[in-house]
Amino acid sequence: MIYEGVTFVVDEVKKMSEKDFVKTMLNVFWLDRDKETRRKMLADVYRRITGKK
Amino acid sequence: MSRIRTCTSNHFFTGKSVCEIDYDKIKLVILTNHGVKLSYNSGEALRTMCHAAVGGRAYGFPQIVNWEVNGGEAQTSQVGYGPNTYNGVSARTDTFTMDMFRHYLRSVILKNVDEEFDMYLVDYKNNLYGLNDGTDTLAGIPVTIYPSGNDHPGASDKASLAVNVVYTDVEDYMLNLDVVPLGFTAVNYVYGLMPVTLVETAASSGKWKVIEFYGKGDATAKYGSLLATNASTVLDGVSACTYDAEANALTITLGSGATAPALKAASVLAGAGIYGIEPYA
Repeated sequence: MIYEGVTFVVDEVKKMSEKDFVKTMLNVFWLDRDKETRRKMLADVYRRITGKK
Repeated sequence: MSRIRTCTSNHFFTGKSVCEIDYDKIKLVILTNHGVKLSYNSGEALRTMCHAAVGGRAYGFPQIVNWEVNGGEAQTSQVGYGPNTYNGVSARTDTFTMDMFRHYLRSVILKNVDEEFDMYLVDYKNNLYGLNDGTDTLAGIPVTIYPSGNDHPGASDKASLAVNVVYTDVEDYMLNLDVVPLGFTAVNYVYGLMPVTLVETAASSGKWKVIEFYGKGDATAKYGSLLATNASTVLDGVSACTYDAEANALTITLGSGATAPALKAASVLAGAGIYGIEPYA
């Protein structure tokens, strides 16, 4: 899934917990935005991929 | 009735075609492993074969800028004071000079001097030359190869590289040579592959470059965006990826249990529109 220019590999993301996912990606992508915005974006990506709310 | 001998067909035609073939200069040399026929029904089929797994792959060389023939002449001999009679064809080697010298290509040619290949040629008018084996698809011309050329410019010559092809059976070639029009511009579809590796710019930086294995050319700018966009299908060991144009690097987070990202096979890359490279193995 491509989200804001970043390609997320669905099968790999599904193997991760949301906490691990956000922790792994938080300081890697979209560094031109503030940390809280990035955290929200990553949470959105995780929910879209896993279907978890 | 006793067993009798029947002459093999030796029809003698001296007519000419209503649609003469204009044999043009050779532009491309394509090799396959001996016994493997080239797929040329469409440009896409040809390109797919250039990215297929080793064994069924077509190997396209860079553009040919000169062709020279050595040998392949009819030999005659006489017995006693009898007339000269045909006695076969002398061994033949063709020299195909490529557009420029490449040390890695010479190395690869040299490593394969003992390998049997089948050769196809394409001229400037996109005619494909091979052997008529009685089927609708041309067979390749059996050859072996070796390199020649100059590493550096001299007083009058530029650096150059040639692939020499030694005909396994030149008489068979002369008897069965045939040509078909491709109907597409072959140079747009014929590829030789360059092995590449993914190299991290600094330990644990998460920034990776696509580096050519031979000569260490940085191919990231050419392939980075396509690799990132298709990361789900063309990369292993990756959970997320983007192309950072400013840093000219792929920003990658690794998948679970992975220690490094890895490119998938050339056939998979080609399926995503990434042509001309394969992972170094």
